[in-house]
Amino acid sequence: MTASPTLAGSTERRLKIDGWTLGTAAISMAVMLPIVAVVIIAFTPGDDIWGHLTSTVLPLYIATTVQLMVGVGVGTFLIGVGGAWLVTIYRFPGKRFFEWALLLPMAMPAYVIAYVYTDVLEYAGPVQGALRHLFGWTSIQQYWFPEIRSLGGAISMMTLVLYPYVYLLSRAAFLEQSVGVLEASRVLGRSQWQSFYSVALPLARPAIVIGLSLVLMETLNDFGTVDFFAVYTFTLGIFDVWMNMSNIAGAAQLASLMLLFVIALVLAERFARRKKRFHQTTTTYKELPGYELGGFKGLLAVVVCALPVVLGFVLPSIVLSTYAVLHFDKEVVSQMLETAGNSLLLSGTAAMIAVIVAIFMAYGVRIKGSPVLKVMTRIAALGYAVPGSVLAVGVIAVLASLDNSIDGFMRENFGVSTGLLFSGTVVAVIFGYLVRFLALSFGTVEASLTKITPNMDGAARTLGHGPFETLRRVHMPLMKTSILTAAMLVFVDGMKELPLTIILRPFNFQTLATYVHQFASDEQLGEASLAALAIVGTGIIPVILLSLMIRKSRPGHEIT
Amino acid sequence: MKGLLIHGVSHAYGDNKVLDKVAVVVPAGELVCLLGPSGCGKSTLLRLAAGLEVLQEGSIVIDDVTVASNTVHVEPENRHIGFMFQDYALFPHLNVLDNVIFGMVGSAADKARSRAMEMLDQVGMVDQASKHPHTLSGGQQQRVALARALAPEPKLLLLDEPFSGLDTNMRARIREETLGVLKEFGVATLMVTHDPEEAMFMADRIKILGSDGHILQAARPHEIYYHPKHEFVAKMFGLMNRFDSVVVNSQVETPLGSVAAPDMADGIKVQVLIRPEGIVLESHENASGTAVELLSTHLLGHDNIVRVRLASGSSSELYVRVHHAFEPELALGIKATIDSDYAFVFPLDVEEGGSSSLVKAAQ
Amino acid sequence: MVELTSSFELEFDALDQDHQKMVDQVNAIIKKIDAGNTDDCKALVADFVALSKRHFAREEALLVSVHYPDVEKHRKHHLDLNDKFDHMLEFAKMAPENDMACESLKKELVYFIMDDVITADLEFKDFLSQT
Repeated sequence: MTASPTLAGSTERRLKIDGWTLGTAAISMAVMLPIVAVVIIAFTPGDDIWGHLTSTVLPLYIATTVQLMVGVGVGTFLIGVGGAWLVTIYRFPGKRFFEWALLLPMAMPAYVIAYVYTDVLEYAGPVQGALRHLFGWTSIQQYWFPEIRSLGGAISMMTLVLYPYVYLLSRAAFLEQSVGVLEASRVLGRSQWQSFYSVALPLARPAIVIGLSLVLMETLNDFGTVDFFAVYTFTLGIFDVWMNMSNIAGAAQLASLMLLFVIALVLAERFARRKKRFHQTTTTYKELPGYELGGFKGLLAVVVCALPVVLGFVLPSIVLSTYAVLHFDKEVVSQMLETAGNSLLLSGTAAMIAVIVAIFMAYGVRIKGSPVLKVMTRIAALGYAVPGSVLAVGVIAVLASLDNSIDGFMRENFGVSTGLLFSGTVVAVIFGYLVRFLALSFGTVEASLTKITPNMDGAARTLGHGPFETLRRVHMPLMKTSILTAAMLVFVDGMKELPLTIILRPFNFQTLATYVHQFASDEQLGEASLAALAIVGTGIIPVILLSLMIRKSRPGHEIT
Repeated sequence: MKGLLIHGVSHAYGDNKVLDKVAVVVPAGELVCLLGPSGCGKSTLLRLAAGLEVLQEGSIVIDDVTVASNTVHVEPENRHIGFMFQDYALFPHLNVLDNVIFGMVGSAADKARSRAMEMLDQVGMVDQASKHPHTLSGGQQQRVALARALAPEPKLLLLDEPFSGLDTNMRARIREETLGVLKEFGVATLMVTHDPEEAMFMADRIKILGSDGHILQAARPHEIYYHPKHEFVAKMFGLMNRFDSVVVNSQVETPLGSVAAPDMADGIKVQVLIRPEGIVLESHENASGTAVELLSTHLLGHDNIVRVRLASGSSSELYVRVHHAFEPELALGIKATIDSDYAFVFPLDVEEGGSSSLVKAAQ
Repeated sequence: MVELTSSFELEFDALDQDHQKMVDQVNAIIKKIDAGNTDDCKALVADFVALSKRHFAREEALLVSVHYPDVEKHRKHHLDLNDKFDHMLEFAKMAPENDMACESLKKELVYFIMDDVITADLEFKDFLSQT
């Protein structure tokens, strides 16, 4: 293998070209590009509709977005923290079941339950129909019924499916707390409620903040629900300015304003994560007390826990299944299979690339350890915070200019026009997914990589294997489970993804999500119910994994 | 020259200089031990020799090939060395045999296999070849790690605290076995440890690295123990008794008698450090020496630690190691003298900080 | 046997020649011991000690003349090696009767010349090349 013993593998230190550093830097930059593009476009003077926007719709966008965020924030906080507190501290019938069942609504995209509840609760739907039948009403003037297609409706829908983030993180935080702290508080004369309020809650605050910021990022990202309910948030505004006014600069300006919201959330999350480290009060654990809730109180606890699960998962699933059975025919199935095929192709490819890129980046940082590289990967992994609509604007801009320069180059040198190579192709969608979901795969891979002691690298290297061989023969096998988890996370989120897909997909190309969106928007949920069920079905995979982890975890073990 | 040559190596982490112009020579077949307190740059030097860290200053030469200097950095996989890590770093996903085969890059599968089995036989682990590392005891893991490091026939073996992970009764045995295997292989070995006893047992030559990154002394174990050139080196082996005094006529007067200080000028303020075994207690009638008062005794099995105080009423305590049967109840009129083999004189102005051993001050 | 390869050269002729002479002397002693001829060991080692001391003196003078900043440190290093001369001479005296003395003497000589003398001198190799 090695020809000359003196010079094999020796490098002139000053002239070293380092593939890992270059590669990692290049990937990070590619992933950062769409976000950078959005900001650049926004600040490029052109047909400026900013003045127009501020005088017309902008105040509405801001007000609506803020109201939506506050509403969803409060709602998910109450259900998430309340549910977590109940199942960690008290004992009541079904506690073990609710521990994981409370996660189920995670599998349900907000737009899916929005379609379901609209279908069920609208004037022509079964609920109002039954009421009219029961009371003999004949028209809407005779009674009051809440309008589901409203801001309040949107808040309810998102709260129902997003609270599990808060639940998951605050439950973990409560489990980490030493029971001694709570008992000390009781002994010092505080009631259970006071102990929760003055001890447990402040200690869990960083975890709750992280959960809430994830929830609000998802809220900002949502397109399906607000579009269907005609709730004018930023995301909808971007679509509006872009699709209906064909004004990409205006869309970019809205998008960069929206980035301010995102930056605030990211900072809140980062700050909370840093603080979290100091909030771990003890390293010795005891089984939590499990105060018995009997009789009426126990029943109340069951109802409180059951309600979000039933409304956020069970009911919509039953409705969808019923529709699916009613509308079951060959046509629907073949449509569903075709779109599912497209979804699989996009999400599967994105998952594979995201994992490979994540491994390359995380390992590059590990073996090079340069601070610059570290910062770059951190920035590259910020895509998860940026709403799909904003990213879409950036991806389109980046790919369009890439297409143009290739086209220009080819025309100049070879006299051939290549036209649009990437824009409006599946490549665009996959790139969009990659930017948005890289954080999922990178975070998972990196966490698992840090668990491998650097001595493993040292051992493999001194035993004659280069960095790449070491990765292949040592790190990859050791990270097998995490790599699969990372791929699965990206895959599932890709299956659910709507706003990016709608904007970036090729003409007439349907994924499960866009298919469901299109049919449900046309009030034809029945035809799309099978596809919707397929999305929910994939969404259940991570829920099952999470609940397995929770089952296995006992106090003192990491569960997130 | 076959073996390892390191010279002029300095290394710093930020402002913290852990190695300062360090030089080490390990001829083929020899075992050199780098001994120093935890936190000094010992392990860094090993990692530099292995190429796991990039050299900042100096040169590293293995078998006459420069592998690291300010212009050259040979990657670790091309240095043909063996490295045994403190935590052994066995690959958890591979069984014992595959761990040992891992390093035999470029040899045919069946050859590598038989060579690996041979190695496992050497360290007495053939029976465990198909087991996974986590099912092995610490001692067994250590043996596998040794076999794995030696299997590719490295030019140089680097051992990082190779026995610190083992419990005390196991350590002595594994140490002996390891030494046997190493001598049989005749590979140049550089070992790092903070345990002086371990260093003295294993090494042909000990190099003492101080906490400031300097080599303080280099010599065979006997010389290190009986002729420490530095206060820090003297104190490495545990408790010392100390008297402060002044040189007069190349002699230093202490309450227990005088000690020679041949190379020192008159009038220099010095400290005399005496190992606990360097104070001799006698209690028969015509015993000579200074009268001392017995405070307590502590039987350790192989010897006694006896605490005494000068009968003159001075408040300082002395620690004495007594190897023969000693029953304080039967002792009367104890006199103490100094065995000069165990007494060392150092100038007082070169106080060395960071010593881990406890020193009892006396006037 | 000790072999003085280029890695050990200071690229300063006067000192390299000294080192080579000392290495030759060490090799001569080792050769004699290996041949079982230990009778003149004592004399040879005494010669070697004298040679070493001359080298030290010459080297110190040279370092002073080129204003090497760490000359005091190096002088102290030479001084610390005095004990080793005593040990070598004691071993050499015992060599005819005691095999372990022979082995230890060989080891002591090799480490002395390679590690204590030449490698320690490599510290000012860069300094000398600049003057």
